[in-house]
Amino acid sequence: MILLYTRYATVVWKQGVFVTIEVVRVSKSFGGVRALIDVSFTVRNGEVVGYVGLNGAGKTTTIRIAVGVLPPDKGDVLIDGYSVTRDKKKASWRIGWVPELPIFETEFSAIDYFVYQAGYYGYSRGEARRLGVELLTKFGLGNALNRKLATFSQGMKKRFALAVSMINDPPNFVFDEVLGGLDPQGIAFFRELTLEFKRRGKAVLFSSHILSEVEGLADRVVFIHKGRIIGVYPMEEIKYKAVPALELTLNRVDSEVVKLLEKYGEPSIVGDRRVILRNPTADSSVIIAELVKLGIGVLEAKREEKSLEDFFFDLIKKAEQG
Amino acid sequence: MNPVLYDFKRGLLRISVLVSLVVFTLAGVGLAYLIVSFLAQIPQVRIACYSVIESSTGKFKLEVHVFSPELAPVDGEVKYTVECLGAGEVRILDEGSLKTSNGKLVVEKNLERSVPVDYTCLLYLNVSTPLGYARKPGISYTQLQLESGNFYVVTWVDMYSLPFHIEWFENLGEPDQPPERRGLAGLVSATIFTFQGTDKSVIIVSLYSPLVDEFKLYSGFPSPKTLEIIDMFGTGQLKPRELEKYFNFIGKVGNGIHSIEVNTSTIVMETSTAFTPPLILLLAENESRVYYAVLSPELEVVIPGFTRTQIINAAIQVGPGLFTMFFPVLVLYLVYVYIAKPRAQGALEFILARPITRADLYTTRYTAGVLVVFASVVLFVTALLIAVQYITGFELTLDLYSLFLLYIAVVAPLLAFYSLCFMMSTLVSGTRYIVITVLLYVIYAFIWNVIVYIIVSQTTGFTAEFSKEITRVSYTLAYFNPIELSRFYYFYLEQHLLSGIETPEYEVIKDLANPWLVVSATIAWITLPIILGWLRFRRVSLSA
Repeated sequence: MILLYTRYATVVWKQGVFVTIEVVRVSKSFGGVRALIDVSFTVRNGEVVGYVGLNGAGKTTTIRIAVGVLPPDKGDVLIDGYSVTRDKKKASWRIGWVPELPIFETEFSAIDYFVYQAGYYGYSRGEARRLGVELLTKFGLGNALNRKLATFSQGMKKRFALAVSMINDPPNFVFDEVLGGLDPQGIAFFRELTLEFKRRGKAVLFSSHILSEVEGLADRVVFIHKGRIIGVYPMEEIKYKAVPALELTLNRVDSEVVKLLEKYGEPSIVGDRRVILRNPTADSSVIIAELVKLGIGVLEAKREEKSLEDFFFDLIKKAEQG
Repeated sequence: MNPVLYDFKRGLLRISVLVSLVVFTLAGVGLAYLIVSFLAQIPQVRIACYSVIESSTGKFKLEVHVFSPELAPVDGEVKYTVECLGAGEVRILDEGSLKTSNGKLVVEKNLERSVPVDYTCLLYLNVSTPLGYARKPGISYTQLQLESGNFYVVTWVDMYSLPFHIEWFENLGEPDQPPERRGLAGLVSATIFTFQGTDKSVIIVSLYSPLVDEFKLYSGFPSPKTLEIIDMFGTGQLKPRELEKYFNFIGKVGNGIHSIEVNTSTIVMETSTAFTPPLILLLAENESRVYYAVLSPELEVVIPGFTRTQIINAAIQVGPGLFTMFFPVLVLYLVYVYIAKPRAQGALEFILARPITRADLYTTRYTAGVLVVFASVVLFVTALLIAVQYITGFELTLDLYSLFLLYIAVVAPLLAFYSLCFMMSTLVSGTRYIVITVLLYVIYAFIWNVIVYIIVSQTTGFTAEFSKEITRVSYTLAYFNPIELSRFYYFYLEQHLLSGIETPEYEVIKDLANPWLVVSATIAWITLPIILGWLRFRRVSLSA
């Protein structure tokens, strides 16, 4: 990371952590349609960032720009400090990509196409073949080395794309809707792999249109809607906000009330007389009865059954309301 | 492995490309046969022969030498028939079909029956070689009634070499007296072949004399003085030794066919417009007799490398011409495989995710296709040349400049069309690419000439100048057609091979085939589409 102290020092070092994938004010239009508008976010070393949005929100476009296969209209993406627009080779050397629907030149056999791709990393034919056998076997394609790529299932194609992306074991990775269309075994494989990458200190951007898919994987989640980033939240906060809750409006809120409510969940005071009790362990009628016994007037009680997706949709709703 | 080489390998080793190459190569070999069979139908081989039938014994001898137009021995098949007419009957004395060895055929046999005196005998020759044929329908035997017997003799060299009698005379009386006895001693024919652009000439002599084993051969310029000297010699006023002062000795010949190489400047008078053949003198003497003949031989100008040029011309017009015409189909398919199809599928994106730039991807695929074109052309042209050489047995080694022109003539239009297709693949992809490029191919390869025909027929009409005008318009418009660019290179090649000899089209083409324009047009056709294609490719979305 010598470069860290030279050309890109101000870019890659932020708030005391390495920023290894940095999307900087990226905009992109297709014809008259604005696919991305001023998109910015970062993924740090050893961090998995979920990239969540509805279909057509701009996730894949962002990722294609991030891996250098689509030029942005404005902005840039820096991979370990290298610009994908100006230093494409160095940037691409440092990032791996498993697309949502990997598309290859299908007349090749798996091992031949691997050897061909490895040529771009400077591998000789022999070295590339040896590495290909090793990686394809490692990722469960050992018995399909000589099969034509045209005959591969989606899961196999994703594993193949992963093997190719692992040719030089890059420090950054992008998974685009990688769990879509996979069987449970495939889903488990990619989830485990993502965590493995995280343990090994790689920066991983993991896109999905389902928030729950990135639960248990992502440290942070970047939400995108209609080409704009509508929020960046730590996963813990999302989970916290997404649990079931009982919203109470009382005639008073004091330490006695809080002490009582702590027996039934995680209370938090949100106003003069309003308390939200998260993860309530008893039925609302039982809790209300206990409050009344203490002489506390319960003016209103509202049960909230909020899921991760509700959280996501709330964000969208807020974004659309402006 | 370098991706360029990998793409090149997969481009070249595609079943479709390989099959096409095999087909083209086989077509090339087939065309080589076609060329040879075409050449074999041209009456261009030269023959020299002599034949003797001894009337009383029926002893028969036939010797035939077969030459290329440049006088190199050529092997082939000689069919001969000897026919005699007389006493109300027509008899075939002998006939046969034999192969030559090192360009020569000798037949010696005793005929079944003797040939009576005063018959008319004819020799029919039909010579077939890979380089052409020669047919001599009935060369008359000259009847020589000599002291040693009656002979029917043919001496023949190439086209129209009239036979000359060899005579003898002897002086039994005083010196300087007119000869007292005279007679015939044999028959001789000769033709002089002068090699254009060199000082080399070859005299081929066909001779038969049963009386003399060896003659001295002289040449002299046909001046009035020379003729006077010959006249004096014939009337005994001049001794043979004195005669030798006025002629140049050029060699010795005996019975049979002889080739004698001489310096042109010593035997031929060359003016700015023509060669004047010399007089040839045959001279031999023994104790009392002088044997001599004075010939006024035909003179033929030999164009060095003519046959080779003809073969190469035929080969390049038929073989690479067809290759240039049809290989573009494979070229447009190659671009489809490299760019148009993967782009339509979205497969280029995955490659672009490797540590390469768009420019790398663009140039890698372009370069791979260029290598495929080069390799295909080299394979095809080499196979064609080897096949033609093998079949004709004629050395076809081209000089570097000719090879360069030949390869450029084939490669340049293919590369130009390849670049055009490459540009199209950046504008449209998938099926639309195929439709548009096939349309372009049909226009450039086929409809173009129809357009030329229509233009000329509408502007000039079907006049005597029609053919010339077609040539003029074709060459003028060729600058605007990538496939037609080859016309210019074939023209330069032909000019080079013919060493400046002007073909009928030369005058029309020479001003149109401006080398600077040709090179500029070629470079423009190859580079401009690639640049325009790049301007598009650098920004275009590569997703499906």
